[in-house]
Amino acid sequence: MIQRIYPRALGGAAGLSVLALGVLLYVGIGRLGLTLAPSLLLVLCTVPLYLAASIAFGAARRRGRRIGDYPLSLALPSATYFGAFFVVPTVFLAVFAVASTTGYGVIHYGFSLDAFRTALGSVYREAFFRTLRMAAVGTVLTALVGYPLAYWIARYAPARRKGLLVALILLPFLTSFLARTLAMLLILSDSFVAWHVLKTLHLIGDPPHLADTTTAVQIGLVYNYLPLFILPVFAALERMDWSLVNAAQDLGASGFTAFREITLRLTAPGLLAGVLLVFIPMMGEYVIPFILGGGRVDMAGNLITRSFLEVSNYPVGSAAALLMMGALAVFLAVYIVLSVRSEEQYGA
Amino acid sequence: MARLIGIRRLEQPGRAPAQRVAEHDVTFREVSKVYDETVALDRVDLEVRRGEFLSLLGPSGCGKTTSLKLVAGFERPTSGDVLIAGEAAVDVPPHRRDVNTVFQSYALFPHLTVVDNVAYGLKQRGVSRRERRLLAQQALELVDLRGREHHRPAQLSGGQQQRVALARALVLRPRVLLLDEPLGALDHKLRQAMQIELRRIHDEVGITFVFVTHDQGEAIAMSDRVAVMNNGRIEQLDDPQRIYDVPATPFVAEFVGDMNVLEGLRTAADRVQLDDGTLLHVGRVLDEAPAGGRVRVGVRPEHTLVVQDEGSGRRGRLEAVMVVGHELQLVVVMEDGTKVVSRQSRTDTAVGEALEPGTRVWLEIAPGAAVVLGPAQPAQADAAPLAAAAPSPARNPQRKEKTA
Amino acid sequence: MNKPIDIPAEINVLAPENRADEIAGEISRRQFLAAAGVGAAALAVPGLASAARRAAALESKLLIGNYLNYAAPSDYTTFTKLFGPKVTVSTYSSSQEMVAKLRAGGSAYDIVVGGGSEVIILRSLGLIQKLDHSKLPNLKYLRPDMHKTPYDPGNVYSVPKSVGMLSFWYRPAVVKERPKTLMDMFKLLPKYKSARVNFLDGAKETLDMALCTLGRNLNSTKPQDIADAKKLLIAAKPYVDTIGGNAIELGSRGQIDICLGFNGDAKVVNRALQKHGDRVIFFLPQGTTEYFIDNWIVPNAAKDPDAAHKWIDWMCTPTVAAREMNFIGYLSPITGIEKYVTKDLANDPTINIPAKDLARYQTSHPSPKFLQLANQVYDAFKAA
Repeated sequence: MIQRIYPRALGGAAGLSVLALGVLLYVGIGRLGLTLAPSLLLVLCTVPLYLAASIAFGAARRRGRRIGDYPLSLALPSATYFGAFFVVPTVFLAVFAVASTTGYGVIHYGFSLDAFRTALGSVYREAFFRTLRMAAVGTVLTALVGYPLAYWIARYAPARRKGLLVALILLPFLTSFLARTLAMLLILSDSFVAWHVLKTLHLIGDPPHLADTTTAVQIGLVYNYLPLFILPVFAALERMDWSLVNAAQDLGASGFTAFREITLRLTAPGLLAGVLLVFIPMMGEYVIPFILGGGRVDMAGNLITRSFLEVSNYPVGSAAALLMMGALAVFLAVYIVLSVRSEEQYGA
Repeated sequence: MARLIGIRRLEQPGRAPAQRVAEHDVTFREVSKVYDETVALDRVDLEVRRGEFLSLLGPSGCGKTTSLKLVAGFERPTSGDVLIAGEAAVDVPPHRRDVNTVFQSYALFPHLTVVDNVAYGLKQRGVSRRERRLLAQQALELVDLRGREHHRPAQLSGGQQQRVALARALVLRPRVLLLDEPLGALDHKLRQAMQIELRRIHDEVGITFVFVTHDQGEAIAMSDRVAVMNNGRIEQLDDPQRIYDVPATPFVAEFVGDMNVLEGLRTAADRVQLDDGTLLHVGRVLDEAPAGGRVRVGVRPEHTLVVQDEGSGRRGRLEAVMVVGHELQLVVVMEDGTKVVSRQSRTDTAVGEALEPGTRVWLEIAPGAAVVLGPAQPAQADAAPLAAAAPSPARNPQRKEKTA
Repeated sequence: MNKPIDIPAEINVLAPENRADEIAGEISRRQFLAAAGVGAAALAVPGLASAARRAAALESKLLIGNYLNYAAPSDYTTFTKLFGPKVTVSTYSSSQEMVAKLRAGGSAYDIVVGGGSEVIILRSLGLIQKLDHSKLPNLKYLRPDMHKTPYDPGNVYSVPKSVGMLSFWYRPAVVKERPKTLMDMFKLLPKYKSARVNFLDGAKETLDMALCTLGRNLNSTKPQDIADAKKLLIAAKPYVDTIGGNAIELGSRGQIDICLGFNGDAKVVNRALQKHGDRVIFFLPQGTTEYFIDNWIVPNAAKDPDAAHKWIDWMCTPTVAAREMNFIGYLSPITGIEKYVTKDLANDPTINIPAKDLARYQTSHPSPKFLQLANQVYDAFKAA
């Protein structure tokens, strides 16, 4: 009996120390400029979650189900974070979405589907499909720009330079997102010095009028999300066994066929991860269209932002946000199914 | 051949089959390959005869794998010509060459089943699905792998993967099959079984095999001819027996088979006097060394005999006795400290198996069995305690005692 | 910061302090952090607790919510020097954004700036507090008509800050015609395809302007009026380059050719452009348009209402009001400022709007229905 209790006590102690570390971290984060309130809230969120998890697993154990020897306490800090910043707000969204407003936007809690009706209306629908189109085009462009680069680094760059090249790709991330986007605005605007130089050299007529257009937004999307795409794709290509490509060519496949049937096929999970990693945030993007689109290009994210931050129509904003999450969850589900299948395929 | 009768020779797309029957399937003419600073191949000439099993043998970095890549088309020679079936192949891309490779790591496509792996090349040539299945099935039978058609490579053992790789390359019936150390990843027993199997398959299909290995035993056991390579050159191209018995260069002599290397004074064209006074009758001289100079001589273990009675042999002390199958391997430490390995059949050995280490024995060397490997190298003074050119007595106390 | 060239010497002297203001802001934040650190230490050492509390009490702060470039930064530092509270400013780009921020809570403004419509909305939502007139002795300087604004007679909740109006301004270097009404300008837009056109941010402001352009009641919720306004806006959309671009900043760099905007902003832009021999023309429409009175409002959530009252009262001082007017370019509703205000402002009919024109112009009193329609129209306009 003693021998059986001992490891559990040890596990419990380990779990508690992880928890304590988590608490310390939260408090530490709270100290950074913010007040202590959010971190205290998080700590308070942790306690019921921890209790709930213990009770649930205890019950499962009593019923004799094997849960495996996973130290679940390791997942607790992140569970707390997701609980506090994702689950709780999503519940709020759901409550708002079925509420209604009267007068100057006073919220009446209840059950009404009016907000969903508005959020499915033509303006929102059009914005959604426009966003879908821009995100899709943006993702394809990102892939077309990013894949060859990742391929080159993974296959041809000298091994000792790879780290440096990947670091260079991440370099833009060292500046703030806003600063990068504003810098792009300077380059895209007609007064950018390069256009003048080109015009003086009679290489172009008038400047291309890029700023404040959908094209500018599209370029901005690709630029900002490129590193996010390259990393998983590079990781996949880095694991690639290039002798497989030689083998395919050896067996009569042309270079392109070998790329399509072997390289692309085997790096598809990484490619898919990269695509989702850029596609989903692109769908929710609202800063880039605001800055580079001159405020005249509305993506779905702008409409939702406006519902909350300007026109104070929480029900419609919440309904639109939930619908958007639902639509994106479909993409995520596709990804999960595909990645599980590919794992099975390789017999991993 | 019997099981593959009826399979028509698959034609290369976009290329007329070579009409004239070339005597050599692969020809290298003055082929050099230079990477950055290193010379991988140095003006190599090679002719691989139609239908033979040729091994490229050598230590790592000798250029054997580079040679294979030049034939497969994954590399271009820096200079010189590569001919396949008598036709210039340098500008022919890999997928248009009538050669197929069994890769060292097998390079099986992890996302395809066994049968799809084998049928991959057929698919590239536009063979119909039905025929593909049939031919792949036959190829798998040839390599003795049945019932695993729908497994993924990761679900197979190393040996089975090896067979799939072989079937995948063979199913195309190439003019030349290139094998890049295909047995390297297998355990000893499996490797020996596969050696026999590979040879059987070669004899059955009648395709030219070019086999790359660093294992001299493997090369000797399987090949029709062996090309021993070193530093980007072919040192000797000969049948296995001659490679072993009549090595053309000191490198071949030492690389192929076990060799005891001794040092002594060249007293006459066919005489070498070892430092303890023993006179050796030299059979062959591989590298000319001036008479009267110090030379290195090589003696194979099986050309020595350990006896317990004092005779004409050298005196030494038995250090170890090992029973290796039907053979007995004995390590004798000579009085000057040199170690000599001797191998003799257990049935006709002159000494008992139960001989204790430490026993005083005499070592006899068969007349004419020793070969002169070349002049003694001062650089090896540290490695061989008896190196004559030892510059200072302090570095060689044993010798000092002896001369004193 | 766009510093006009012809502002009074007094402000020029204060100009370097604009930087000092920012730096002072930084320092005060650091001091606050230090105080917080003391507080944390005090938790561990009980003896220090009372000392820390006393230190925190000395730190009085005033958080002002305002539109961008809608107050003279030098006055923030001057206020701190005179009365103590450190001033922090947070900006918003439309009145609706301000309302949304107040409703969401979390941003504890001590004072916000908003138009008459915002006073109505915020009051109906119960988000603002009644002003204590005993703390606002300088209200006596307020123009008599400003004591009985239609949205808040008696200044119970609001004290007028600036008076402004909406129209187009344009660079005569680009636009050769001289439009007389808002509609004239709408009709010119297709002619100047490559001109850089900026429209206002905000749903309410956009619908207000469209209704005025059509000569309708700007508070109308009649379906026909709304439909027409929507049509007008969507037809103009292809010629609009930016919506809600920073008019003062972009305009001062000469990057806007036609701007739907406010008179005061046009004034500031003009001062900047004149340095380079360029200029813009802001015109008083012969038809109708919107004019507005912006106010100081104290939200319920104000942490330091005393400081807020002090600020409002100080702003009503003629010298301060004149300084503000000189900087932001909008008419101040304070009397006795004439001798401190620069001539170009005092004599400018686009700033000091003549009564006969003002009679034609309308003010906004949006009903909930109007705001709802405005949001729909704006969404459609943006989507077009």
